[in-house]
Amino acid sequence: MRLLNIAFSNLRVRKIKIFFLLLGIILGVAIIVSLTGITLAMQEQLESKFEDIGMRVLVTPKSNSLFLSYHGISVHSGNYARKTIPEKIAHNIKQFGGQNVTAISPKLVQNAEIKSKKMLIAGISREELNLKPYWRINGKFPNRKQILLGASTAQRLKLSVEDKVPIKGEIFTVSGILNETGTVEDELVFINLAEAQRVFNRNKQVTFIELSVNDKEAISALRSKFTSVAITEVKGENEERQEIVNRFAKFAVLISICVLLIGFLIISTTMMSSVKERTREIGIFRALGFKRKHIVKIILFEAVVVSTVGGVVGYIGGILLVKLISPYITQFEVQLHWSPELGLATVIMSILVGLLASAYPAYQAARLDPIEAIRFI
Amino acid sequence: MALIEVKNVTKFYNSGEGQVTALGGVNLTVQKGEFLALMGDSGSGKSTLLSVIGALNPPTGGKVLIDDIDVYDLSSERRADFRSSYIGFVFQQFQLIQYLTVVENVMVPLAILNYNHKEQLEMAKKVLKKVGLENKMRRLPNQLSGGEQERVAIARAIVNEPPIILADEPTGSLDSKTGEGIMRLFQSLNREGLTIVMVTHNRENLKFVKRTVSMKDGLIKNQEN
Repeated sequence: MRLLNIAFSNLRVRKIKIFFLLLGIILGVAIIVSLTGITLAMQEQLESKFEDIGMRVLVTPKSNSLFLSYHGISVHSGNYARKTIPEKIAHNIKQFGGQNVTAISPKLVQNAEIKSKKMLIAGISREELNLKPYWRINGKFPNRKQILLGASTAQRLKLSVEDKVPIKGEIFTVSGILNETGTVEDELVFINLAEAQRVFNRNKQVTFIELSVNDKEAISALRSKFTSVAITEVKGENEERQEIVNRFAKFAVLISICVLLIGFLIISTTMMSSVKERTREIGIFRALGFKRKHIVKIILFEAVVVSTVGGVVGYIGGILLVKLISPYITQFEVQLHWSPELGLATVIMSILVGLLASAYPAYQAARLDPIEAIRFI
Repeated sequence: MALIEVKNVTKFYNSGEGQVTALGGVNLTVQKGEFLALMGDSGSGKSTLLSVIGALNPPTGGKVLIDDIDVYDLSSERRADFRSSYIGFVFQQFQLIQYLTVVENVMVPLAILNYNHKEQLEMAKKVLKKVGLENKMRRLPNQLSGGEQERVAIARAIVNEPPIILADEPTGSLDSKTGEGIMRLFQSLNREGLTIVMVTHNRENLKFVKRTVSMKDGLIKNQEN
């Protein structure tokens, strides 16, 4: 018989009450774990993507006075369609940059009417997929006589996969539709680069080249080497995404603090009422020679047992919750992470909150007057 | 040698209607090996005196010496130690812990002492045998009769072998036959050398005790042997 046995036995008989307390703790811990899990996964993904892709760089015709706001595509420009650069530059840059160039995708962007609507057609090569790992295509990458539609374009033109549509007098089949990306890509029609060059009669020419480098130095090196073209660094969607992740992280911290406070109050209230219910029992313990510290130990043991169980189960539940809810919160594919560090931190946090919340009830229990408690008189 | 010395002890309570005198200057000496009954009507102060002797209830004035230790000179935590080693309580209504089994209830006073589980179990078994409950060790208190629960309470009081047993109306909620059995148990414990002070208002119990002290209005009225 140890004080711990007394705590355990007491928990066993108050099953219903402890069950609800546990449920509260588990829910709170699960919410905090899932928020933290999502934030961590988002950050991790962002970092790995940055490592994969690096800095975005655009190579455009030098005389082009237009500021290329996004991937060099501007609907109002009349100039871009005429100005082109040789596709060969892409090859040269790749050779010159070597390992520093992680992906390079030349594009030819032209106007064309589809279903009597003026659309932007972007000729791209498969390299584009290396540059845009977040692309999800329902269907296939376009081959000869095939097109890939941006999400909004598909809706606007009322086209779905396998539909046929004439462009510049030729019939093209929709090979796939791009998932919503939240960028200008949603508004585009994609076509194989070689096809674009053939249809628009721009043999071996491209409008611009998009590439990514993993070293800032490489950009200046490229600039001094390729003087015939303009080379600009793009503040890309990585920054935008970083912003989203940062905002989500702040939101997660805020919610977690609220949940911690509520958890604290729930534990505190339950322990308080438990101490009240056990007034007589505590009086008996005191009369039998238990010191104040023994009473405090019993109460805190109970708190530790409950919050440890709550922490462990809550952690497991939280990780599962991440899997369940993350598709609705973020376009990031969040991976299930059984991180032992997060698990340990969760359980320690849970125990700490349990102890802090039970400190005052335990203090109250310890200073109960034994004579009042057992109503000796 | 006097084991318990109560010297001019007073105890006043503040109630809504002013000060109430629970003990109005009590002097009492209990020798080692005595079996003393405290008699009196309710409100006479007998239970208060018992709790004062039991190091549970600091008096307003006076001194309580047990084994020459000035009990209320000790700090509250030291007094808990003192209770643990000197006093075994048998409360009114048994006051067992309902969620612990019989043997666990008996082991409660040992939980704060340096015995390992095996030693605790042996000590508990020994006293449960003494009170005749060795076959009901694994039961919960509510599965026992009143007399059996009283026996568990007595076993709990004597398990760590304190020299003094303080019992408050131990037969109060038992029928007369069961009560007599309990009194015989106390008598045999007294014969083994335990000093017992018992609060009772049942005259039937007096035939088992060695000395009776009557109280009225917070004072000792008379003592008879």
